[in-house]
Amino acid sequence: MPEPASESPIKPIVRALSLENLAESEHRFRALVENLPDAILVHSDSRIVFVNPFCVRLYAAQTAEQLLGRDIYEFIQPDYLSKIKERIEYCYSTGSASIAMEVILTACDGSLVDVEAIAIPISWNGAPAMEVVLRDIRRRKQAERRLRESEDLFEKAFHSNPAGVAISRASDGRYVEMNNTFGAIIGYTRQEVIGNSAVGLGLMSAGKRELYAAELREQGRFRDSALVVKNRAGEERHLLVSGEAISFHGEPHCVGTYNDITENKRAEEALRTSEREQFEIAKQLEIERARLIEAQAVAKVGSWEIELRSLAITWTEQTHRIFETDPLHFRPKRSDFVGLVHPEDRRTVDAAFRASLEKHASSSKVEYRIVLADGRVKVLEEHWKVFEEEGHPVRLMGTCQDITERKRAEQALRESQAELARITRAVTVGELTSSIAHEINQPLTAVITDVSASLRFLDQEPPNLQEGREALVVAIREANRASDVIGRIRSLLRKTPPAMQPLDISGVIVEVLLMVPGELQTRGITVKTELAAFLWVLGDRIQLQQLLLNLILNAIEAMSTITDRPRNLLIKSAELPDGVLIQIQDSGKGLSSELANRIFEPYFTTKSQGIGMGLSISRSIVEAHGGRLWAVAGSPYGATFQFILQRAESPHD
Amino acid sequence: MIESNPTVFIVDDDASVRDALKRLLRSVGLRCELFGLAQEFLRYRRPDLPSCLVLDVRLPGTSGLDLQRQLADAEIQIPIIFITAHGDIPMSVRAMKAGAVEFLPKPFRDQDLLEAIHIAMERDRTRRQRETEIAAVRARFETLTPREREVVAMVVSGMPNKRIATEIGITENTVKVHRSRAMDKMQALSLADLVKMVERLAVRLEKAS
Repeated sequence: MPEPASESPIKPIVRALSLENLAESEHRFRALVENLPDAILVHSDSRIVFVNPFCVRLYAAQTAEQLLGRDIYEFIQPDYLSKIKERIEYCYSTGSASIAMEVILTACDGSLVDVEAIAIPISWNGAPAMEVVLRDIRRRKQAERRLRESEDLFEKAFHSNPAGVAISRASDGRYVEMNNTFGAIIGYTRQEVIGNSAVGLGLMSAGKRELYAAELREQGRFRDSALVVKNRAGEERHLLVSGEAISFHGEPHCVGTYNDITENKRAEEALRTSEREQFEIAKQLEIERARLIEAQAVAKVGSWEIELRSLAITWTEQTHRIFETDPLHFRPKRSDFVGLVHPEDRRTVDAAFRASLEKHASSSKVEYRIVLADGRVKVLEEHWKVFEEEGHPVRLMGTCQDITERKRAEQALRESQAELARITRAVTVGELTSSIAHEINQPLTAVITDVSASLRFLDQEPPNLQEGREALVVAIREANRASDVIGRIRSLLRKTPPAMQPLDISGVIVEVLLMVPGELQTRGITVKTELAAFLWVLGDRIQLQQLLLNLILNAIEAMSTITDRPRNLLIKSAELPDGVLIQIQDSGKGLSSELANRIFEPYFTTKSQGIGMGLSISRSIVEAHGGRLWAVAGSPYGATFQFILQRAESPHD
Repeated sequence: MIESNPTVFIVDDDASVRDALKRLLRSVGLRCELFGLAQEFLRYRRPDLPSCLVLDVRLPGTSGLDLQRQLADAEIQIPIIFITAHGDIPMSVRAMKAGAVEFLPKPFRDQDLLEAIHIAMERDRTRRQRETEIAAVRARFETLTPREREVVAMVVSGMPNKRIATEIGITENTVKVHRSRAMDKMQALSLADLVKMVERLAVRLEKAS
């Protein structure tokens, strides 16, 4: 039940008014009421019947007349209407004054006015009426609103602060206030925290707390102290704690700000880990690189890379070693590389690289020579791959190997093979002589000695016919033995009797060309063939191979000194009405017509190292096949060696 | 008679050549012994006769040139004639430098071989004769008494009798007696003869030591 508004300042007056008859001192009353600092309004039957000047001002009216006769409820904010009506009725029914009610009025100018109202039932001109005392509480309300707003603001700022904030009592460290973030960080609810202390929650040791407390006492604050706490779930949180000494309810407190940097820590840790990993990877790469360098050194294989966009060239150490350049200071450029390549090989190298780029060849190979500063020549072999991005070549990666030694060995092998071929062909007059000599000299010695002995026996006086005869018999036997030796050697030389069979001479030419690719390449000779398919001749494969090999090697040798024109070897086979014509044409030094006849004589040679049997034997082979071999001088240079063989029927017909 | 029985040793791995050589030597009355291997010849106990060696260069196992070296190392002095069917100049130079009598390439003329054998035999004969003489002188020297040897040594060094007497501490007449006996024992015809004998002996002794 509402109490009487005992604190109202006008109560005694009203009481006096009700006690005394108004008529008595209406004038005085009016003067009093009109000068009251509160607004007074009397309404009867909801109509305003009296307002004092203050009330006129409160209602933002110009005059009292503007308000008189109007319904009191039309000034009351709709929210309050039902409640006010109820109160008023209650006051009428009980005849007692209402408690103070806060109401918002709508003033005449439309502004809202907060008021505190007390209604007192009175009698106005004999009719029941209600005297209402209105106090302007707009300032208070505004202050209240401001306070509420600032409280809201503070609350928001406090709770939504991304940092945890907690206020604890300085004396015992008990928390009196905390924000949500703080709760989130430590994992405890507000109920658990408030009234408890950091030590009590196990967030820090008593010693640590004492250190903070001392800092606060002495400095009034501390900033960004690193603190590791275990939250309720037992997880470690890394915090940066700042404290500020404040007075709260007249008692020293501490406002603590807790910045959770666990994630940062983790990120930092992760970064450090990834840095360490990267360092490890880099170290591993360094080891791998060292290994690669070593492996390349052992294998004598270098590698390189060319970025096609920038034309940047990278060489490994071994590559530098091969080119004999300084890996620390020499940065290879295309022009450097080209400069090192042997002038005769530049076109080959260029063509190989171009071809690999144009054909998008997955792997390519080239063999070429380089000339070092001191004039030494090395033979290199390179293998590389073209790497593409979106169908365009972007990079070449390859290996580089010094094959000089291998080449030298191959060259030596080839030379010895060629030498062997020559010896084989000239074997009857060559190396075998001395070994044959020994084989034959033994029986000859016996023959001569026996015959000599025989003569001496016969010359004796008297002649010893018996001994003389015996000696001659032995001599005959020994002479036969010598003859046997010769026969044995002859059959040795004729190891393989010629085996005539139908042969495709074009096929034989191809076979022989496959035997000399190295010779052709090292001498820089271009080979062309114009071969009729399936030209059948009757011949001995081995002998015809030897013949062709001999003529081709001669052609190669004839071109070895040519430097002012291309070294071309052209081999043709064609069908004639009565046979098959094979031509071996070179662009070498050529022949005079006189020479063209003499070269086929045995022991005739134009070569410093030749024994002059090659062409003689070649001609013998051709003639043994019922053919003809002759040479024609080229115009203006070169020579063509050609032979005709008899045709054979195809074995498949 | 020792000197009339010279022997030619033949080492050749070819039996025909060996037999032909034997026949040739027989035709001129020369005795010979045949060997197919160098080792066989080394193992053979040669009789003490004038001899020479006809040696093939190319032999299985120890070659002819190796055998020459081994004989020289063992101080076996036998004249060598090399024969070979496979000779070259460096090989023959080597053989000749090492003291070979001749180096004949096969086939050779019988006359060339027989001449070489003759030279070799002469050489061996001379050597043997010299060695026999030295042995005889030595045997005679062995018969001298220590005093006679002492006197001989002083005489050949050119000391007069008087001085020798003083040196040894005997009378000059006693020296003359020793000297005369030593001359008789050594079969020296003159003082010069004695000096020559002692010198040869000294060389030989020196060499042996």
